[in-house]
Amino acid sequence: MSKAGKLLLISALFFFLSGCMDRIDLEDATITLMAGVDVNEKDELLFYLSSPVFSREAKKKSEEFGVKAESFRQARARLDEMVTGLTLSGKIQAIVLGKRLLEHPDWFKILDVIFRDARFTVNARMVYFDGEVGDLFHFQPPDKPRLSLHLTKLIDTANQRNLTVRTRAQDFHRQMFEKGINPTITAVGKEKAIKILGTAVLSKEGTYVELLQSQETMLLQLFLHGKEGEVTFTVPIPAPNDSKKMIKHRVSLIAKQASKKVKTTFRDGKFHFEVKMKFGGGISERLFPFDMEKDYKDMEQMVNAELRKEFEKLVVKCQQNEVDPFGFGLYARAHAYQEWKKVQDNWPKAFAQAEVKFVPELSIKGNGVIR
Amino acid sequence: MKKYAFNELTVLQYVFFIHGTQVGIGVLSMPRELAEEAGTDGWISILIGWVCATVASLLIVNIMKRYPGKTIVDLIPVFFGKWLGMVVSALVACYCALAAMTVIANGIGIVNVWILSQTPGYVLAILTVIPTYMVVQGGLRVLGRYAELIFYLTLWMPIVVFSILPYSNWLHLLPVLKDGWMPVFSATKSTILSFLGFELAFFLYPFLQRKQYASLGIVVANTLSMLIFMHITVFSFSFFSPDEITQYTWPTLNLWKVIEYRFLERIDIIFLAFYLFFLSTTTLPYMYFTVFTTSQMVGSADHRKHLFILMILIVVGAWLYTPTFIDLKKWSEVWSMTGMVGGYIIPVIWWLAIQLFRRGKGGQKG
Amino acid sequence: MGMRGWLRRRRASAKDRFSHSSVPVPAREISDSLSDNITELRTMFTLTPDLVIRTFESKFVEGSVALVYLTGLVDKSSVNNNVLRPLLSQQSEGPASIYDLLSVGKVFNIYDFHEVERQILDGSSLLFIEGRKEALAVETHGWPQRAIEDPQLEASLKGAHQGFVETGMQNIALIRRYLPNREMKIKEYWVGDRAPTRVSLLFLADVVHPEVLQEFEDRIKLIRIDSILNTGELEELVEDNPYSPFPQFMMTERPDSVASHILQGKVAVVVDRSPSVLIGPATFASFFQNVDDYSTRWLVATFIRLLRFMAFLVATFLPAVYIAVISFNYEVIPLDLILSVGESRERVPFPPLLEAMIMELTLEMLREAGVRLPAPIGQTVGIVGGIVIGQAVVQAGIVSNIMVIVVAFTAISSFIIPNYDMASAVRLLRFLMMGLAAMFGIIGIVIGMMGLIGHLISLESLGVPYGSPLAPVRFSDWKDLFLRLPLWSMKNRPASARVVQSKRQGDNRPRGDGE
Repeated sequence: MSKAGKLLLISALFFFLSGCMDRIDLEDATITLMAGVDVNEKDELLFYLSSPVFSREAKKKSEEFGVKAESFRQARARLDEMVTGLTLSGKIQAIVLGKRLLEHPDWFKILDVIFRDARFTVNARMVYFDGEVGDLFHFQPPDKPRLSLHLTKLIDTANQRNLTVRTRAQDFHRQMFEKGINPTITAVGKEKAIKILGTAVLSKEGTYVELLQSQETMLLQLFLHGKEGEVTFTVPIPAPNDSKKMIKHRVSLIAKQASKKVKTTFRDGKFHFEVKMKFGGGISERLFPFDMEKDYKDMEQMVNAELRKEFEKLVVKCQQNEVDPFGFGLYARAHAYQEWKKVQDNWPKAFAQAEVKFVPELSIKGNGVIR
Repeated sequence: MKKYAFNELTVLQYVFFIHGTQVGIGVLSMPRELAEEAGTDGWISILIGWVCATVASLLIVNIMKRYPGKTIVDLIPVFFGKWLGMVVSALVACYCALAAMTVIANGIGIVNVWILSQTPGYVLAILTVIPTYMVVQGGLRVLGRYAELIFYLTLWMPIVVFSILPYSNWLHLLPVLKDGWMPVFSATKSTILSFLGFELAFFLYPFLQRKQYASLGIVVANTLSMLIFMHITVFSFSFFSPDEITQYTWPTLNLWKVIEYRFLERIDIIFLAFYLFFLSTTTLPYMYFTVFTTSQMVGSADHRKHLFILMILIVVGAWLYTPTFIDLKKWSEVWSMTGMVGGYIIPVIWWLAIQLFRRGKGGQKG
Repeated sequence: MGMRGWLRRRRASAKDRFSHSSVPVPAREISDSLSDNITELRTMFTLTPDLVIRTFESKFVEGSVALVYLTGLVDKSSVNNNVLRPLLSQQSEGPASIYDLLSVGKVFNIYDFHEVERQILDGSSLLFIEGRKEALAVETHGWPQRAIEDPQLEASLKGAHQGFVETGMQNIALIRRYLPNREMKIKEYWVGDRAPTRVSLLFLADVVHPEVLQEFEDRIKLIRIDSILNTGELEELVEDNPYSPFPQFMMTERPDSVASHILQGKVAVVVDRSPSVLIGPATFASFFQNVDDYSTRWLVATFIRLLRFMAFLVATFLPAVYIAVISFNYEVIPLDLILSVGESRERVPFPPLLEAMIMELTLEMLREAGVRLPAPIGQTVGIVGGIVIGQAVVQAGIVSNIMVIVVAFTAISSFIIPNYDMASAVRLLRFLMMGLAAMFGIIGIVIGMMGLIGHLISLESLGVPYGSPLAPVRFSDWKDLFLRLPLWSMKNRPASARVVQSKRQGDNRPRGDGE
């Protein structure tokens, strides 16, 4: 057979065999940007999705639907009956979990498809919604862009200021499987507008345990990631009859760099963690007179003491609730492996017994442009 | 003597040829396989596997040095006689074909899972067969150039992995040797098989231009592969939690899934598409040596006819039968077992035989 | 390799076919009778009104003389002043031979009519003299020809502004001006049985690899054809792989670029009557080089080189990537982009492949229309293309905005590739890639890329690897590949051309005042 003949045969085969089986043109697709899961009063699963509408004839810029189903895939089939195009899940930006869902242990299995189906994105942000997910999906603020984009942006920027964590599905998967840490996800609520509440800490089964406020989240983030994004904290400085004044003695610091060292030991039947954290910070706000040039050491000491108090308060709060959002378990495994092996399947309990010492070492690098 | 003069390989081509053959389908699942056996200490097993592979490949080069200008296919009839030689040659061809098929089938399987879930396997088989034919018909010389060029073209891929550095946690790797040496050794079995590909030195040696670099070249090739394995494994271990990594079939691909740039997201899709280049540097050599062996068996110098038949067989095979993922696993196991024999056991026995023979001869003289 | 063997076979059979039909007839000798010769000429050239046969008596020879030439092919003033006048005005029967009278440089004897025919058709004037069994060929070429102009296809900013013309000898002269070296040798062949064309191979004898030269010569010798009218025809008859979209020889109309290639150890072929010169062996990378690269500063030239390779990638793959991304792998586009693409695609009634095809074909048509039209009308094409099609097509909702941008970007990129043949190859490849992308998405593109690489590395030009110095890698040549390093760093000729003598220059690195 001549070469040309071969080529012809091959190309003929091509055109007969290929049916462009995987092709879905963008205009035929409904790109899901936000998915939600919730449970109703009868413990039935509800699935929600929100996707943008491109048509110029449509008044609304996005469509939202909710269906009752037993799994994500079943929900997709139901949704395909309603939406214009074929639902595609490769661009989901946020997965919203309802308050009631997180009361059920083992709900995590529902998310199986996200990790099993390779086309699913694992970069969706995990969100805990304090309320019914349906309310969120049908919320249409006129002064905001498409809800899904608004929520995504909100989480990302809040995370930049360290007001909440940004846990993507992949991170969440890791946090669920890793024995030495408790999952933490963004907590969102709705009043007049959608609002970041802070960080939700979940138990190893995935149930909701506690909420960390923004200042606490900042400490958590500082511990987990060092200085990432902008870290500002406002510290109260003890002063006589402070509570009565309108202007209180407060100083705000912006962290410039942070590095931590965790010393792990196992003594007297429990784990001891000593966290040494070095900060370099600049003062961004000071609401009381202070001679910085002379007494900056005192200032450092005062702030250190306050930080330490706050951090230890946070740790105690977590220990009381038997959760370890810090991942001290990782340190236990890395440095006291034999003891860790005994408690690894029940680490949060062991953590509740552990002793955590926090030693901040602040050095003030800047004082702003006024004295 | 000068039978293969036309198809000479430069030293770099020889290095990249072997390196390309070694880095194939294994890299995708390697972190999981290691983690299953040895936890996060699996990277030590890679080092041990590398030492084993290097020793075995040096043995092969040493053996082939004794038969200048001859490939294994030329040697078989000398050792086994005509008819038994035929059988052994057929076995060699089958081994190469099995290796090529396993990688192709696995590659098609992964593409089917990851990107083109609706496209039937045989269409993808046709798709892979066309460039394969274009390269392999040019013979070893073109294959050498291909291996070399692809190496440079894919250099960016290990570098992009560095973008997951912000997400990695080196605490996962501690403590080193947490459960002692035993798991590390048991994981070594899978790593030494990942280095398979150096056994092609049995074929390649006579084609090499400057024979004095044969040993050095094969060590460099093994080291390059080791570095790639190490790079991927260590990064996977630092990214995934040790409790989590065993959940994934192909952790290496999941690793890429989180990388996002402002202009590009889901790098895993692009990575997987370009990974076909890596797979091609594994399949093409095996494919070539399959048809090289068969055409030498029937005594024809032109391998293209056999290649064409093989290509048709692949397409027809893929059309009649799509392997399940269990089948794929079995194929890989069979390949590993035969590779163990061909790449490790035979060189050792052969080399020992040569040593004994030599000593015997020396004894007679003395 | 197989391709070449196959070609050989084909050529050999062609040779057989021709030699049967035109058995060489032994040429008739010139007789000593002038009238016989004139009769012979008349029978040879029937229906040739432009043949001039002038018979006259001259004092210095006994009997008459006939001057024969083709008007139009000779330089009239040369014939009149340097041939006719001395012969006619000669009064005394001096001892001077006829050679002393003709004030023309090249005069030689010919003895048979075969040669007579060729010389007349080549523009020489022939003198037949009563009683002599020979004819004198006087070189008086002077056919109509064009003045030397700026090269059209390969304009240069800083380089020379002389382009080749249609006279082979003049072209050789242009090249020789750049290479006044006795090692520059010329081998001449006549190609074509009916209308032979002078084909000259120019090379540096001490630099070129003998095998490469031999291969080139053999291929030219094997050609059996009526006639070749231009270099392109010759190229098609000698190239290695006739099915490849890539040009396997370089064609240029610039004498300086020919000289630079000859200096690199390549062989140039000047085809008479054709204003472009063939250079081989060519490599893929050499199509991305330009003479201007060497006359601009090296940093600038490097930047432009990189731009060209990027343009190659963009021109080949961009529409394919666009198709793949919006109909298969939309996951890889960032969210904001996907929203704006989605909005612009919303009104388009066609699938992406068809949309891209419409635009690409329109563009190719516009380009082709512009090429043949005279400049004033050519501008209209631009207006029609730019405003009417670009604007209106989007407003009518036939094509999306983004597609127009993609197509425009692709077009600009393909104009950056300096070689016309390479740019045309890229145009074809683009359609192939678009088809693959429309069927298999990114996987299709990668498979196409693999095939492209496989083709490029197995392709050869005169037995020299086409992909060199990329595959096989020759790092020493990379100084003049993606980058254009300073000239003083390229001490050796490129290894890709397989030269025999590789030293090009000594240590020329400028060191300033310090040393």
